[in-house]
Parts: sequence; structure tokens; C-alpha cells
Amino acid sequence: MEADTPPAGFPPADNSDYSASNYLQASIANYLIIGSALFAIGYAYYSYWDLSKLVMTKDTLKVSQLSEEKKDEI
Amino acid sequence: MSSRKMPPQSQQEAFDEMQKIAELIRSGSDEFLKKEYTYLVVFCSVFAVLIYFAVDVPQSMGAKGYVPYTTMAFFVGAATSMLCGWMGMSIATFTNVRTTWACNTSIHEGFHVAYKGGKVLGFGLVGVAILNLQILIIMYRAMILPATLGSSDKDVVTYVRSLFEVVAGYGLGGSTVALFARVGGGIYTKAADVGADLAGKVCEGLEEDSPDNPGTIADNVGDNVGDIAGMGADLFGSLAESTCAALVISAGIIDILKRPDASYFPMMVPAMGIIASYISVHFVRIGEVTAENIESKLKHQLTISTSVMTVLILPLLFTLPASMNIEFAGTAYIASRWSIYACLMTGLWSGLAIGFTTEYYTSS
Repeated sequence: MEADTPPAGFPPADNSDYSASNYLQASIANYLIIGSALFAIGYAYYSYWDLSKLVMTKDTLKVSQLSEEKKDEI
Repeated sequence: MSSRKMPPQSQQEAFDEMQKIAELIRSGSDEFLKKEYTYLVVFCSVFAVLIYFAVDVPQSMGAKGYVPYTTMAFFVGAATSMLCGWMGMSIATFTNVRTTWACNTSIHEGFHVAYKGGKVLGFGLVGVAILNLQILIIMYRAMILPATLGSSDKDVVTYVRSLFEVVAGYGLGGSTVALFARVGGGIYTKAADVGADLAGKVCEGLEEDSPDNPGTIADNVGDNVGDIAGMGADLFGSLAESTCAALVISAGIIDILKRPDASYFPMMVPAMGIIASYISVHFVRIGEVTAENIESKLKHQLTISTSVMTVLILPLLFTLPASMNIEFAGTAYIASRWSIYACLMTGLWSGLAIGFTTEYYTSS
């Protein structure tokens, strides 16, 4: 779409002071939003990686032994 | 009464049993989500056609006309919501078994494993949500806004508000999926819970969540798809909706539009929330977690993150104009940046107070 053509039904563009380059052309906001979003995704992935490093072994599992009577009952 | 299954008698048996149950829950949850998302894709496609003819065609933005801007935003929102639900469910089923295993060492270890799983969903969800929204705005800004915006403040407001109105399709997509994910998953989990209880507790005299009751697996699948996948989609829906609504409202205030960074204020708040959360999660390492203090540990986390957020929002206020003329229902109001801060603080601390009050009256 041509950049300087106004949408249908909207007031015509007349090269006045209101240049679109001034509107929604944020710098601090862009850096903050995109930066923190990427940081959050990266940190989420790091947490996942940290979690996946956890190797489960049977050694720490606590097992209560049933008595012979209890086994018979079951 | 049917014969009960013998509990594991050796560590190897227990380990194998734990892995087997985890795999059953994971595969059951995957299957449910696949089915639910299949129906959701069909529903969203039909709904998208309605949006196109009801919103995009009458609005007809752009010289090429009839470009489905709102419909595209709707699809991006719906897809992101599904991604958040899937992400939540996957990480939950991945973490469940590890938490159980770690709890065999100590509650402290188990808590931290579960907390890491929560961090994956929390940070991932907010990150993906605001990144997609920001990309959408940047793209639509280039596609929709002309090089010049007319000759008056009113024209500027008209253009920018229209831009944010089409972007609001993102919130609609998110909440549409969230509705189904929450309700669909919620109904399933309740049905499984009640079914398992009726068959196991009432008819067979088994304990709640007894491993001897096959319905327990269905109940656990329900917990994952309803309370986690549904919650993930719901959280995304709430974030996307509230952000889009705030963007549309701010687009009506010319004083804000004249300061480009101020236009993005509603998105800078959750972005700052990510930093506040990152700072807060480090406090969880302080002290030993026991069965007695586990709840207060989580409450402290909420209080710390709310307090950090209260401070971190302050610098953002200076991206706003010192005073703004806001017109509402034909009446003009003048608001300062501190009025906006007061609104934010009311919402932030009310959320904390509601959480604590609910917990107080429902925990005993």
C-alpha cells in the first residue's frame, strides 16, 4: 500500500505538520518492550534448560515396605 | 470390593511406577489438547470470516481496501493464546514428575523444582504476548498510517485510534481461545474429578486420588488441561485484552500521541513487570522452605513483586506528558501523570488485597 495514501473514509493527507514519522515512532518504549520480551523468553528457556538438567534417579525415592500381613490383606 | 494393587516395594519399582503415571498423564493431556485445538481452529476460522465481513469490510482501511487487518490480528491473538496454553500444559507435565521426585529429598527441593516450572510459563507467556503485540503494531503502523496524518489533532486521533482498534483483534483472538480453553478444560476436569470420586470414594471406599483408582489419571489430566493450559490461555487473554483496551483509550488523547513513547505506556507497564518479576524471583531462595511456611513463601513473593513494581513504574511516568486533556462523554478532564500512577497503584494493590482476602477466607 502506498505509504502516503490515507485509508478510505479518512481525512485526506495534506502534507501538514502531522508527519506519521512522529507518531508511534517510539525509541525508549521499543527498546524496553522488545528488550524485556526477549529477555523474558530467554529467561523462560533458561529455566526450562535448568529444569531439564535435573536427572532423576531411583536412589532418593522413599519406599515403605509392607508387612507380610498387610501384603496378604491386599 | 476389588483387590487393591500392591504399592511399590523397591526403589526401582517406585521409580518405574512414577515414570509410568507421569507418561499416562502427559499423553492424556496431549491428546485432550490436540482434540480441543482442532475444534478451536474450526471455530476461529468461522469466527474470522464473521470478523472480516463485520469489521474489516465496512472499515476498509488502506488504499487496496478490504485488507483483513482485524482478522489477521485476531488470528495472531488466537494462535498466541493456543501457544500459551500448550506451553503451560507441556511444562506442567514435564515438571510434575520432577517435583514428585524432588519432594522425596525434601519439600524445599520440590518447591524449587515446581517454582522453576512456574517461571517457564510466567516469563514465556508475558514475553511472547507483548513481543507479538509490539510486532503487530510496528507492522500495522507501516501498513496503515499514511506518511502524513491530516491537518488537525482530530485527524491524528482518528488515524491512530483506528490503528489500535484493528490491533484490538489480537485481544479478541486471545480471549476467544481462553474462553474455550477455560470452559472446555474446566468441564473436563470437573467431570473427571466427580467421576473419579463417585467411582472410587463412594462405590469402592478408596481414598481421594488413590493410585488404585484409574479415574485419578483422568482427574490429573483434567488438572493439567483445565487449571494449567486453560489458565495459561486465560492469562494471555486478560493481558492482551487489557493492553489493547488501554491502547485504544490512550489513542484518543492527543497529548499522549504527541509523545511517541507515551502511546506505548500500556505496553511498557507489563514490560516493566517482567523486570520486577525477575528481581522478585531471586528472593525465593532466601530461607528454607518447609511444609509449614510454603504458603507464606508464596505470599511473600506476591508482596515483594507488588512492592518492586510500585517503584519500577515511577520512571515510566516521565514518558507521559505532565498533564493531559481527556474528553469523556462530552466532558473534558485534565489528568496528570500522577493520576495515572494512582490508577495503576489502585489496580496493583487491590489485586494483592483480593488475593490475600480470598486465600484467608478459603484456606481454612
